[in-house]
Amino acid sequence: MTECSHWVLTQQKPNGWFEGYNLRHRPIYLHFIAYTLQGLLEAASIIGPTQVIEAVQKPAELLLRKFELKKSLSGAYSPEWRPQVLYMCMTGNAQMATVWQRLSQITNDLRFFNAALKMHELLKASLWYRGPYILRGAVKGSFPIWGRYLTFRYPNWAAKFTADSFMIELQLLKTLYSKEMPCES
Amino acid sequence: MRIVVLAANIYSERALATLVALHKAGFTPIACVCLSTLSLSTIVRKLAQYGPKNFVLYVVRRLNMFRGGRHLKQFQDLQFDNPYLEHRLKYHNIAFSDVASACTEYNIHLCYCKDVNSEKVLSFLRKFDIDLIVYAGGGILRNGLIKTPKIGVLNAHGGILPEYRGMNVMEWSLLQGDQIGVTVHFIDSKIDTGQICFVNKVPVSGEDGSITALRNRIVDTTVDALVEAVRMLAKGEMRTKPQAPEEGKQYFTMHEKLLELAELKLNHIVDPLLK
Repeated sequence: MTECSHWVLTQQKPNGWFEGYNLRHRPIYLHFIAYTLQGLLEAASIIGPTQVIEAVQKPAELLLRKFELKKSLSGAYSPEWRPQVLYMCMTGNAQMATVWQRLSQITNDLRFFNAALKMHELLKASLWYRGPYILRGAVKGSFPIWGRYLTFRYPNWAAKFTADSFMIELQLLKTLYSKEMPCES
Repeated sequence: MRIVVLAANIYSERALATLVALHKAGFTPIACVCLSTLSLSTIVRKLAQYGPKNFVLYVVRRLNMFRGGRHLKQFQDLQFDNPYLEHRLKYHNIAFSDVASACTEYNIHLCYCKDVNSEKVLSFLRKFDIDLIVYAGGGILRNGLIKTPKIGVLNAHGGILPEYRGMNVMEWSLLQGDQIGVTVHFIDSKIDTGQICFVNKVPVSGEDGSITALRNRIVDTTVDALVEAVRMLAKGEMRTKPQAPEEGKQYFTMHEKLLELAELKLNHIVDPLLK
């Protein structure tokens, strides 16, 4: 496990991009990018946090900046971090929110949490609250739904990553409020 | 000194207060460049800044002001968004309702534009051979405009530089338990990274009952800071300090949930001051 994580770190380019993000013959979806960052963060306990945080922080901060300026992230990126498609990858969005929140927990940098909160607004806006029962709470593969990532489908892992991220938000808010109101928490 | 003021829109109280304060200090600007209120870019910017609900309130307020006329008005009739600026805008028992009325009163050339970086604005400014631009709003400036004045473009940033760059910096400072203040600096091609003139720290006082009240007070402080900076430049007393890009962080618009927390933090600071 440690060796694998170290190997991943050796694949990082100076611009923060990890070589080999993609599955062959597919665009480099945000889902793959966020998976790598998420995996590294969860492996932090094994290979030492400083090294990992530095490796993850660069691409996470770069994507945060893109998100804050454009109010959305592209569904896929090139190795130069250029947006490659016009649709959003909702799974990747939810995972990036998780990555930002985990980074916020580790580094105490609330800018990451702030971006995650805004990403949650975007995710919530794309959810079905009415309509067919089977679709309520489901998260689209792509937004708009005809995007290339799981076209016209609602993957269960998108809903899972979204729920994960929402739960971390609750944890983080609880921690922040307990700092402000120690007697009432 | 030949000064030009940049205004975010005709109704910008900050720009209006800056114009009036500069005039009262003996540095009447030669011209003012003002973004058109009804341009698409202004509407998009205000929507992003205020959010849909507050944007509607902003439009209603502006329409009310428009209905009341665009000239000098009886002071009693006017309502200001920022009460801290009221005393600055009084003028012999009347008050300026917008930038245009102040420009007419003080013989300041006024240029409306859709983009402050446009060729129209650049050629307008070239006519005056200006020394200094005082920034009181107007979006992101490009190199063409930044390099037009001989001295530079002066801005009063509502946070402490180099630590807090970008948006909502007063709220971010408050949330992170840091000091709040105003930094006067020259604008360069990046966001809030230009040479620092000076920093004025603003202690929280008992009258800062809400984030809005504190923000209004900060805006009032930025007006004084800009006038002070112009005075220092005129006397040749200004000593600037460079800042490295890696010294600080860039902050973005704060989410409502964090704003609530910042407000809570402010209440915790203000409550003991009131007792």
